Parts: sequence; structure tokens; C-alpha cells
Amino acid sequence: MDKKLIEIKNLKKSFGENEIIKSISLDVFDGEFLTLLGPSGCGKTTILRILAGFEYPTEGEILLDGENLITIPANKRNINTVFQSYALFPHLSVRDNIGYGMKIKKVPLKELNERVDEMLALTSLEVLANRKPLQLSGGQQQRVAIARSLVNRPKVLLLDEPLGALDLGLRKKMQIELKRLQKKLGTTYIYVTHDQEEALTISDRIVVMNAGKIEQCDKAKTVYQKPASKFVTEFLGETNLIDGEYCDEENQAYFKIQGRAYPVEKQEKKMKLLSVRPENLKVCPPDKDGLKGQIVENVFMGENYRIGVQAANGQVLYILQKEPMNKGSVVGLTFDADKVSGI
Amino acid sequence: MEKTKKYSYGTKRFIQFGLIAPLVIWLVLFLIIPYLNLFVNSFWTNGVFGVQHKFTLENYTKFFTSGSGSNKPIMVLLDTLRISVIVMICTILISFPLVYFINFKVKKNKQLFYMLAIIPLWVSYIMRAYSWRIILGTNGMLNSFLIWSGITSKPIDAFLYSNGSVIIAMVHIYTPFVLMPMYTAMEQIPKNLIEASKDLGCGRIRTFIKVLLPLSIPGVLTGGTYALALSMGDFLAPNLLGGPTSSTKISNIVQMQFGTSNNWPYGAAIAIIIFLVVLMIITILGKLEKHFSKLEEAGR
Repeated sequence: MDKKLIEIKNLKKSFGENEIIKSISLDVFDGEFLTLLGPSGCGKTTILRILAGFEYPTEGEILLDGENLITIPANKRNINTVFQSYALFPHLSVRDNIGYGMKIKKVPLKELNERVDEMLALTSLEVLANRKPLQLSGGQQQRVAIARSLVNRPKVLLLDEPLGALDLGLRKKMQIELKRLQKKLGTTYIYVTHDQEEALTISDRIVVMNAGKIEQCDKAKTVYQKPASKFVTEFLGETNLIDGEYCDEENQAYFKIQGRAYPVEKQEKKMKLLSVRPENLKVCPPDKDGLKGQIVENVFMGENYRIGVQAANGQVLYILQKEPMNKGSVVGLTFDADKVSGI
Repeated sequence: MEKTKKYSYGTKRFIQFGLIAPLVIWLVLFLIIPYLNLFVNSFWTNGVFGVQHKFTLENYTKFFTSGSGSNKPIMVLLDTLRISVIVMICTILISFPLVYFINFKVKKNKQLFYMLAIIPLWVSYIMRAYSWRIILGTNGMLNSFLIWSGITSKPIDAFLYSNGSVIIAMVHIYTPFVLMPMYTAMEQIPKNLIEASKDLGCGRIRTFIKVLLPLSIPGVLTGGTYALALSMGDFLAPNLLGGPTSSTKISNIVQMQFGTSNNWPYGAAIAIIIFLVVLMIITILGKLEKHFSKLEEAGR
């Protein structure tokens, strides 16, 4: 797990005047599920295409197993891609699609058939083996695309928003399926998505990107709980950003909000904003120590009510509660020091 | 839903009919009536004083029995078919690389390249056919060049007035017709299939053979059908460029029956026979094309 498989060093890519990737350095470890997460146009797909060999970087270096990758043409790389629109060969059956790569590499027929069968079983496609891609549903086509790549036993599998075209239920199912396959085969996955929930569900590590730069690269849980920047905080789910002043005392740090100091964990930099996820804001009686506010809205969200609380300075903070609360009533809000992060 | 409720069934049908009426009228007036007319005519008897409305099959038997050797109409038909197939193959061979280039290699200004390729369509047919007389004629550009460069001392007559010159002209004239459907079909091939093929280890040539070529076949067949059908019916190119030996193609015989020979029923019978032959070929090519495009439709 700790062996570096891919090393990306100072990677830059421009299309004409447009600098899509602005000096990115990143290590990918052997066997991990790494997700590149970011809004569209942030350069995540470009990185994937450079790794696959469809684009060449303007500057920088990529090493795969310590060897220079950039000079190797796409068809000679031990890397396979699952395309966003699957890109299955329409004139070939499922079986021939999966066997395509091995046929090119002149794998002996017996071994080829065995490996195709094994892959068909792994992706539960046995009964569909002789169908053409046209005759399959979106989810089935997706599985063929994954099988077609994995059967070649690549060192790295690149996935470019592979679940983007599927409906929510199927997407959730496929996320689990993908993760299961990855654990079973131990292949390194580099996954591109703009869906933060998907990224949090399936990844070992997440690289959050914005405008061609890496904002944060860490374990999924850390990225969510301890976002490194305002962008990351807001991109990964809903949050309350509260203004205040950071003061560091000998054994305890505080964050002053509207004149009242709240204990927080010690920060390396002076934080300017406090980020609290709605589920981490707790309601307390208004006369206790806490942020005071007035209930202004109740929105039913299925499992919870999302309740808006307007603080004295006019800012509306959101909390999650099982039951709606009386509009106009005044409540206090508190949080635990280890459940918040400073930016 | 609102709109469908507003009209009664009858009104709706009336509106639908109104919308397709221009097309139906066009087809009836300019396709069905003329062909019915031809069909009926082909069974009348040709007399000294014009067409007599007396039923006969003679026009059809005449087609298969009259003449001798290569002058037999049936032999002319086969010869025309042979020339048309050659034209079809040549137009495909010219169009395919061009369309392939425009579609897969040109990055910017695709439309411009496409327009350049089909510009010849905007020049009148006669102009294009005549231009070949200027190029291939005894004192034409080609001969002038050959004499000037010293390759030959005397002009070569064989360039013009041969099957060769007819084929060259028809290939030139019909290439845009082949190019257009071919381009439309090839444009539909998802570009990411090329990347997928590379990703799975294929080089350029094998990607072409294993992916692009099989997927291009429907477009090639559609284009080829155009070239074949159009050159089967062409009588102007043989007339202008065929000379004494090669000017008689099957359509020229038909033209003659309605002109100098003044035997309309016989002309009609030959026209019907050509019609059936071409229809047969188009049906076969159409079936083939359908077969191949069925394989292609997925993955879009």
C-alpha cells in the first residue's frame, strides 16, 4: 500500500493560451483507490488523459514504477481506461469486446478464453456474452467497459466519470461493485468524478482539484472533516462558515465569535473562518453559553429537517433535526471542538 | 396532451395529411405517373403511324433476341453494368481516403474541407463533361503536355472517345454524390472508439482495420449505391465522350428509341428492364447496408 506506483512531478498542460493544469505534483500508491474530485473544467479529466497517453503534458514528469511514462505511446502503456461513454465496439459481441485487448497482444486462445470467462463471471455478464452492446442496458454496458479494461490486468485502471450516465439507484450499486472488484483484484484505480458523495463513498484517498491546482489530497474522511480550504469545505457537502477571531493561549486555542470565545483545536495558521457541518451544530437552551439565533425556516429533507437559524449578525446557520422547530423561537447553538475545522 | 385534445380525430388526420401532401403530390406527379405511363407503354405495339394500343410482349422479347454479338441490347446492358461497377469502385476508392482524412485528421475547419470536396456539384453537368474533352482531346491539355515534355511526338487519340474517358468523366461527376453519404455515415462513428482501441493496445493500422473499416461499411455502401444507380442512367457522358465505339450505353439506346428510332414502346420496355435491374441492385446493397449498420448502432 505504501509503495509509490505513479509519481507525477510538476505537471503542466496548456491548450493554446489556456493553462488547464498549473504545476501538479502527486504520488499514487500501489493498490489504492484514488479519486480526482473537482468541478467541471478543473483539469481532472486532462490528468487522466495524460496518464492514458491521449494528451501530452506541456511540462513535467510522470514515472510509473520509476520509469518515465510520457515517452511511451498510449497503446504500449500498461494502463487501461474506462471511458465516460463506455466506447464499446458496437460491431463486436460482449465476449469479443472483452477479448479485444488480449487478441491484440496475441495471448494464446485458450488463456484468452479462460480470462474472458473469468471476467464475465466476476461482472455477472455470462448470459450476455454473445450480445452486441446495442442490446444491453446502460449498467450492463458499464460492466462490459470495466471488464474489457480489467481483463488486461493493467497496473493502473483509469475511470473517467464511469457512472455519470446511470440513474441514482444503479449508480449506488455500481459504486459498491467497483469497490468490491478493486479490493478483490488489488488494481490501482484512479477515478475521476465531480460527485462529492460518490468520491467520499468509494475512495481511499481524494484529491480535490480546482482551476488546475490541487486544493487538498488526503484520506476521504480527513478531507471531509478537516477541509484545508474554503473551496474544499464548500465543495464537499454543506457547511456553515462563521466569521470570528482566532486567539491562541498557552494550552488552549479559542475562536471568538461575536465577543464570545469558543474552545477549538490548535491551528497551524491563524484561522479566519470556522467551518461547522449542519449535523455537528447542536441545539441548547438560549440562556446557556452558545450562539443565539432565531428559527427562520424548516425544510423537510426526508430523513431530517434542515432548519435555518438566524444569528444576531443576520447570518443564517443551518442545522439538522429529526423534528421541525417553532418558527420565531430563540435557541442556542454549540459545537464540539473536535468536530469543527478552521480555515 | 393539451394540444391533442383540441382536435377531433378526423381533423387531426386532415392536418397530418395536409403536411405530407406536397411530398405525396410530388411523388405521384413525377415518379409514379411517369413510371406507370412507361409500364403501360411498354406493352403497346409500335406501328408505322405511331403507337397502337394493342397488347404485346414483343418489346420485351426483342430486348433479349435482337441484334448480334456485342450489339445485343442485353450485352449493352451488361457492359453498362460493368462500367457502372467500375465507376462505383473508383468513386469509393477516391472518396474513402478523402472522407477519412476530413473526418478523422482535420481538426479545424472540417466544414470548409467538406465544402471544397463537394464544390464540383455546383458546376453544371455539361461543363464538367465538356471539360474532359478539353483535357483529353487530340489537341487537349494532356496531349499538349505530353508533346511539350517530349514523352510522345504525336498526339494520342485514344484518351478521348473510349470507355476510359467515359469512366473518368463519370467518376469525376459522381464522386461528390458518393462523398456526401459516406461523410455523414463516418461522422457518426464515435471518436472515442479510436482512443479505446489504442488504450487496449492497438496501433493505428490495426485500429483502422478492426474498428474504423468495419464501421464505415454502411456509408461506403450507401455512397456506392448512388454512383451505381446514377451511372447506369447516364447517357450524356457516353454521348459526349464515348465517340463511335463507346457511346452506346443502355441509356443511350433508350434515348434513341424516344428520339431518332421513334419506337416508344420498345424504349419504355428497356427503361422498365433497367429500372428492375437497378432496383434489384439497390435492394441488395440496401440489405447489406442495413446488416452492417445494425452492428454499428450501439454505443452512441
